[in-house]
Amino acid sequence: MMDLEVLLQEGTARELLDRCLSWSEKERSAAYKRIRTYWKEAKKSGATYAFTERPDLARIQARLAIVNILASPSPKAALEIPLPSDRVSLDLFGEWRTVMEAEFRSGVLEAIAWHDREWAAEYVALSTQTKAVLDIDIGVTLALIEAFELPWPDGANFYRIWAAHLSGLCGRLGIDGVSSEASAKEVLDQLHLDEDHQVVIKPLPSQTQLAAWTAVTNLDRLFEGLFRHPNAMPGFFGRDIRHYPKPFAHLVAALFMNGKFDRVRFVACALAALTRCDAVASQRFQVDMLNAAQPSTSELAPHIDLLLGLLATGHSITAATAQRLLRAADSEKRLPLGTFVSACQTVFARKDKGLHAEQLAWAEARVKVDGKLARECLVGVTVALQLEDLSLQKRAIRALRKHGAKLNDEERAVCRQELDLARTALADELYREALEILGGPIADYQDRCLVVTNEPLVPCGNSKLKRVVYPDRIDVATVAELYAQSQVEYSRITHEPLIYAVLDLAKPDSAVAEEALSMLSSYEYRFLSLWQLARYRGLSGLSIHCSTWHFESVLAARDLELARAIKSRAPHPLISRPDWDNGSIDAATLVDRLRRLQVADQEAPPVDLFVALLRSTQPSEDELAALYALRTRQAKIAAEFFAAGGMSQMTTSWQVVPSAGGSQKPEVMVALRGLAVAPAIPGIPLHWADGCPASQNCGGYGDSDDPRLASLLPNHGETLFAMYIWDFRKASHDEYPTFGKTIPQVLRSFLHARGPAGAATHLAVLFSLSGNYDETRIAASDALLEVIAQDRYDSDLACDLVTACIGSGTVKVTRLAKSLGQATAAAGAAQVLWPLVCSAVAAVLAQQTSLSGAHDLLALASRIARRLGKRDVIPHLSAAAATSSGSKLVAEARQLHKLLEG
Amino acid sequence: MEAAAYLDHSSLTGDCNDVRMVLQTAAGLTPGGFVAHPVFYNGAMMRPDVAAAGLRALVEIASTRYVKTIAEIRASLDPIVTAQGDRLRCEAFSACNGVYARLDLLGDSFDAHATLGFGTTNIDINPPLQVALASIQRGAYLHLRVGPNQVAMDMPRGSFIERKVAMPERWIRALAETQSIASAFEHRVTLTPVQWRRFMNELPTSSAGAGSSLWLIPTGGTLRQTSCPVPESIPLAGSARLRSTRRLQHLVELVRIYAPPVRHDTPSAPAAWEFLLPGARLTLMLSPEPYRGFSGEGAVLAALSAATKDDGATLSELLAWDAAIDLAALSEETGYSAERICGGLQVLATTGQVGFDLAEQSYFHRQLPFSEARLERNYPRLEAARTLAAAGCISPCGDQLKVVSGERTYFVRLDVDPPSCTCAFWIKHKDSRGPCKHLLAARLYLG
Repeated sequence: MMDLEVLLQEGTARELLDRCLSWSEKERSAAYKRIRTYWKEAKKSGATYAFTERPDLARIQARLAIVNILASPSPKAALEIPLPSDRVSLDLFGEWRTVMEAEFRSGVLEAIAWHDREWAAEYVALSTQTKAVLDIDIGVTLALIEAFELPWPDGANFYRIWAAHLSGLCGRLGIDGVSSEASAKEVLDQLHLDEDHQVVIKPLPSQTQLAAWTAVTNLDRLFEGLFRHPNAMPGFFGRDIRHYPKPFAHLVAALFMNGKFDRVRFVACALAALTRCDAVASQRFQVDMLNAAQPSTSELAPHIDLLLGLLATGHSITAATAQRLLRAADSEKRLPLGTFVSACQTVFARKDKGLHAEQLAWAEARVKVDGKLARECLVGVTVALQLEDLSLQKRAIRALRKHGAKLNDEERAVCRQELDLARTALADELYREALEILGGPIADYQDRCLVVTNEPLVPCGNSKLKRVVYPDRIDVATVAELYAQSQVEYSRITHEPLIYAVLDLAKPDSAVAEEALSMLSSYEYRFLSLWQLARYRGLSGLSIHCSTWHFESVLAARDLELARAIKSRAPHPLISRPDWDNGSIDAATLVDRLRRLQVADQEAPPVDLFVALLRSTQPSEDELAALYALRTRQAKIAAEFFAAGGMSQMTTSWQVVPSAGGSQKPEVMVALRGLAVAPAIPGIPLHWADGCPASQNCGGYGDSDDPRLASLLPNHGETLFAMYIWDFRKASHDEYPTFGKTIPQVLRSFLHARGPAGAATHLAVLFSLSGNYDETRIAASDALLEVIAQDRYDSDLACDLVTACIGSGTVKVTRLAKSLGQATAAAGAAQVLWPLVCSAVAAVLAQQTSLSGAHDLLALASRIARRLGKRDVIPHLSAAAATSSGSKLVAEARQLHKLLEG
Repeated sequence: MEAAAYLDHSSLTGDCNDVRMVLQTAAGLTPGGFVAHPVFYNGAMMRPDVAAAGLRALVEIASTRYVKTIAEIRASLDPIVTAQGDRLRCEAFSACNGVYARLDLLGDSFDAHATLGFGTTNIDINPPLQVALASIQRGAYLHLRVGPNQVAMDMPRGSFIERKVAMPERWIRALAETQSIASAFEHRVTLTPVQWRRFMNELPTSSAGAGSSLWLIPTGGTLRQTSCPVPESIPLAGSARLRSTRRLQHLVELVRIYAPPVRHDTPSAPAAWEFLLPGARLTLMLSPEPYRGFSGEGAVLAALSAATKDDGATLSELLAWDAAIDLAALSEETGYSAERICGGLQVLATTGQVGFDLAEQSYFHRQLPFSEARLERNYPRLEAARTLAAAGCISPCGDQLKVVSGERTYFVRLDVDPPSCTCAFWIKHKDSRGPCKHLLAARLYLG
């Protein structure tokens, strides 16, 4: 007889079984130990990872598993060497590739069957009821269930792997995939045990997919399991259920035609799954399956309440299906009285415009019928008045006017209650029109508007600069306190006093230096990068200036310079230490610090001087003269730089360019003029000072979210925005849907930097108002208010930019309207932003084709005009209002035109 | 109640016009003492749709983990139910422990001819019941029984449902924290149903997980969203944590929002949203940040450091499932000052015996069978502070207090707002997670 080692390498399943079944208990126990040791070592060396990828190794694993099943004292131990299943291929390709050959599968089955039924039951239970994804062989599991009449497993893992197993019948991601036929053969090689536990291989009945699917047994159980376990569904379609093939629903529909499923049970399971409100992709799958079942209204009758519930809780796609099914039931008079009103209340509480329109269309069709149903319908229609959509409100009032006479007193009172609730959402004239139909007194507006209004205009509290406080006495407690401040608000300038404190402590004569430094470095939380540099990089031989010196490299260079000073215990007096909490240094302070250096016959390190020049305000004539009078090399550099205008030399201008920054579409962009006279500090590269044309990306290398960046140009925020304008553009660009997550922080940070706000600042805010993320747009609304509060808002410039942006398609009007709506809701902001809104309205009306969301912008303009009592002329508005079209845009244009004309 | 079994699964039977719902109870405490499966109510519900939607929202919260943590905590679906004679309170925490939800079914919800009992227990909520609850509509007749159909004695041995009800330890700690946090809230704003729907429709939906963290500013007719705090703004940390209320949107009569005072530099803050429904109230309290569970907030520590166990024991004798605890009456009965009463209530809160009702601005009583030994186990920071104070590790040092803890020395200042310490805990959290042990020790030292 062949040695076990040899059998494990090249034996057939039959040979292995014959060998193992002849073992005594002692031999079995010894074999179990050997096998376990072998497997542990293989796992330890990582060799087992290759088993599922290479068929020859998979065979070895199958042999090991067979022997382990026979030798193991318990099913749990037997599962410790898994069957060579297909989890790896499943994860990689979303497709089932069965690697276990029929011969080995039969061997596994026979090995399990050699134990008793309880053993097999426990084996199945352990391998399927697990929460974790576990490799199992579906063929083996199904065969065991059938052969031993075991209860159906309930674990998600079983249904997930089973679904993945069958997904081969659809091909990889499409029903007509090339691999379907081969996979079908694998699947249909279903194994069954006869009375002697011999494996019977079923023949492949058909080559067509429908026939292949029809041949799959227990398909209804699989679907029930899939509906029961939301986590099992991705099994069908690989890792991501979002990519499941649409034609799959057609296949399921065809299977219904073939009588493969019990429709009543299937529908009940699908609806029960939908009430769970799983992830959107799962709901889409469940809805598609429900639609594929095509339930009749009589089959849906017991589930009317569930469908009504789905209107409230389901995703849009679920709610739309529920609405359609309810409407179908209503058309056959199967909807209980009161259901329609509940449906209206539920649908109109949602934000899905499509559902609103559909509900109103349902109501309009229903109200034509006489009797109680129609009257009930009018109550439902009145709920629509709470919506802010003018066209829907008008449709509701039209229905009320046409059929309101049918209402009895009780129903009229209910409608009045709904109308009162809608008081704040309705324009005065529409409210009065509805009141005229329904009768009764005018509701007290104030009673319904319970929200208090005491909002300050400034949202962020950044408008007033504060002086940075440096401690008089540096001790350990002070350093800890300063450190705490930098932890709490790292984004501001608070780390500067800490640098000051650390530098002070680093003096050789500092008594508490050792203790303080050791305490600071013991904290594991984030700290100034200078510590990281000092601790991890070492300081010897590291050049401050690298060849690719982006603007933001100044920060790292300064940290390195400081770290060197601390390490050498020769700290220099820091002339770039800010006076104000945005990083700014008063020019007088700078002159004074340079004077102290002159007296001490010292020079500031190059990066420190450079940062000081960037941070300083523009000196007055006297201060400039004082700088020249110092007659030191560094004072002269500073004086010549400021005499030429300092950083104010870098100016911006905007233009529409045919393409920019890699985009092939027209872009509204900013050109940055370079420095005519740059600070000629030895060792500081100046290529960034050349400026940048509008068609190129000025900066924005992904570091614009460094919270300290704004403190480098505290008096030249416009330059900062111009350098990183492309970061803001990306945040609203279709081609970069994932960009912009850091924009809220960047906006807040950059607005600490002051100076005149020009095209770059306004454009950055405009881009962000139409940003990809809600958070970006909210932060942009805040930023707009912040610019206004800082008295830096240029209304004319903003109007020109918004016109250009809408004209070139750079901003999305829907998002812009929503963001402007948020901003104009702030007290006092509507008045300031009215010209911007008017310009945006004029720009959308000037377009040849209607822009998505244009009517939202016009609705916003109407709301502001009504609130402020505006009388104004907006270009193109009268022409748009005069159009005979019945579109939402024209309806809103007429409304706005009427309001502005008074 | 820590590990009890139900007699059967909670169930809902009958057709849509005549529904019978049995909510199975675990072991609980009643005025008569420990009862294996108490019955609190047996009668009709006046607004079945409200009760069903409220329970579903509550259970959805209990089963949701809004933030994925490394250590996944098992969700507990079984709410704590407290019957107080005129109302039934059902309470639960989200699986991540960052959302506290309480459904108060008030007197109008119940049949006037049926009686509501007194006591506290857990009820079984299972997935089939959740699905069945979705089908209950306003017009239906709902007969509710909170408690088993038969008393425990009648059940043959072996017919118990063996699912154990182990109330998570974090729930007990979080119950204590929520009442302490809520008692410091101010009523900030009230929204009408239309304003509420409009606000919900404008909430960001794109963020995954717990959603966006925003600040809300009440402004003419709506709540304006901003990204930074300003005084008077309302924190909304994790907008998706309000998502479960979509089940109730068509039932909401009024929404009240409560929050603590906010400054420009407030990094984050909790808030409570109270939804007034016909005959019921649903209160959601959101933790200051989505990843923060209530159990670690440390809000109760300061009050505990000034209280004694004896005060708690004295007060416990006088409370009996009061829907609103009358502090003045307690003060009169015990002769304690108002501060001492509050301290005593905090001691009781550590064993889950006290909650806070924002609508009525009062504490309420529930009784859970937990011993006071939890005080030591659940509040190690307080115990460490007591050890420091007792060991004489604190001494004055100028205008500060010097606390020597092991090999390290920390400086505590109690004369600033907020009081500060030089330890790593305070540096990281400041006063957002309650005082550090050094601050607590300093307070104990000063008496």
